[in-house]
Amino acid sequence: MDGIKRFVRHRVTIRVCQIAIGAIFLVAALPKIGDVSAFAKQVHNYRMLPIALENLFAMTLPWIELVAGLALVLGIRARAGATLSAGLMVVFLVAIAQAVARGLDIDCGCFGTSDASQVGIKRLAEDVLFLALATVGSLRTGS
Amino acid sequence: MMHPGPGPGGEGNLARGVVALVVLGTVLGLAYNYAGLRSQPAYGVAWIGEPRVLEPWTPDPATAAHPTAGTPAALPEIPDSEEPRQIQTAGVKRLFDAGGALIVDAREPALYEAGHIAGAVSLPYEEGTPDRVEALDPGGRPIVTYCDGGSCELSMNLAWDLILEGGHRKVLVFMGGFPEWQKAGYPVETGSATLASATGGSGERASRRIDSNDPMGFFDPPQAASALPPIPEMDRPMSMELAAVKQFYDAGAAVLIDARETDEFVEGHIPGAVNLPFEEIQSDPGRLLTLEPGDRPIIAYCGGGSCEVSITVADALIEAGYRRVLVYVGGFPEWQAAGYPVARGEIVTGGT
Repeated sequence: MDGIKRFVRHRVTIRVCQIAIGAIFLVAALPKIGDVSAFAKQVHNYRMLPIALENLFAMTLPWIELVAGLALVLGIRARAGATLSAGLMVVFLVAIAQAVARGLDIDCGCFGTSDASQVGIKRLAEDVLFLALATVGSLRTGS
Repeated sequence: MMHPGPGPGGEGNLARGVVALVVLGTVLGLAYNYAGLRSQPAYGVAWIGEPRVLEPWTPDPATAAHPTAGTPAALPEIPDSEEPRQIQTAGVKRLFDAGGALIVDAREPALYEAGHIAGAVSLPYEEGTPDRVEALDPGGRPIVTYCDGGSCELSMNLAWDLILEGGHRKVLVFMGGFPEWQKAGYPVETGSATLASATGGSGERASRRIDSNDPMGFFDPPQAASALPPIPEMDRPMSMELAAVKQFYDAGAAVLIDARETDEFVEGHIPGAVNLPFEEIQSDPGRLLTLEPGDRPIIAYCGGGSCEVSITVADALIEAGYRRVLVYVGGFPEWQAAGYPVARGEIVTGGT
């Protein structure tokens, strides 16, 4: 148990997790920035936001992902980036979970337009994994 | 490694970092999409990238003689009469398909709201308001009244009112009424329809109708039919203006498609329009093939402004093989603002 704790808190582990989740966020952000209107449509499909906010969300979210991803990969404010991505992963988890619960058969939109995968249990599991990565990445070293 | 480590600021520093990243991302995102903040389209997001502008459709005088548009000539000629005449289900359907009649529901409003022939106007006989009878403007078309079939007499009573008080001369009674229509699986609508500004301008015509003993003086169907400009076959959708849409609507010479989502459609739509949300087409392309426009053009509309789903649906219709597809760019808001009829409630199409 103590060994796991030490491994998870090791600065190399944390750094690796940060770079991994950062890369994932960069890959996820770029196609959304490239095709905002398609992403806005996907946001709309989730039926979570007031319609007036959907476009605003679709315009800014990919850029927040991009900034977080850059921070993580470059190691500048990396802990903040990891905390932010953990928060975003929670939001995505909730979004997908509610879509699954409501039986919406929609594109995930997780990695932009070309990602035609539907929301579902597999997506949820993937998101939990990403959330774990982000959480480890947001830990302090040592202690 | 450039790992900043847990600085002396601790959690406060971390929170500030998170906020800084969010703010930076938001600012970048807004700057990148600067143009879009003013509008709030639902999801068409026309303001990102160039909005698509369709070539406007204009009546082409050269093809005016070409009998392509709705061909009311095929409809049975309804002679003038000072008595109501009976009409059977098949005849009503023919008139309905061609938009060749004004269909009037004589039942009480509650029954009308629970379900009526799509596009029918509610004129409860019990409420018997003479001004409403006079205000009714079929635009030269026959009026078909109906009630609950069987032994119901509301439609016949209303028909007499229309003749004696309203001065109408082509009044038909659909004896089978709503039950028979529904049984045949023909289009049915629920909810209430509001005939907005039904009196605007029609008062003059109504009085003319009463004065005139000469049927030719007020009833001239061939002229009304040929006034409709023909729609040529096209391999891409074109845009249509409000006035032209209204003209086709009045003549029932077009199939109207509401491309918005069902909840918006239920809140209000152009009477008789078919709800065909884009998402539904995506998941079930077969829906497109259930339309039977015949020679009539298909006019798609959505929420106006910068909404683009009507264009997307129009493209899908072209792809599905329809050749007379138009987009009413002004959409429902413009239609409603013009005071034209609006229907509420869900369309239930059986049979097809």
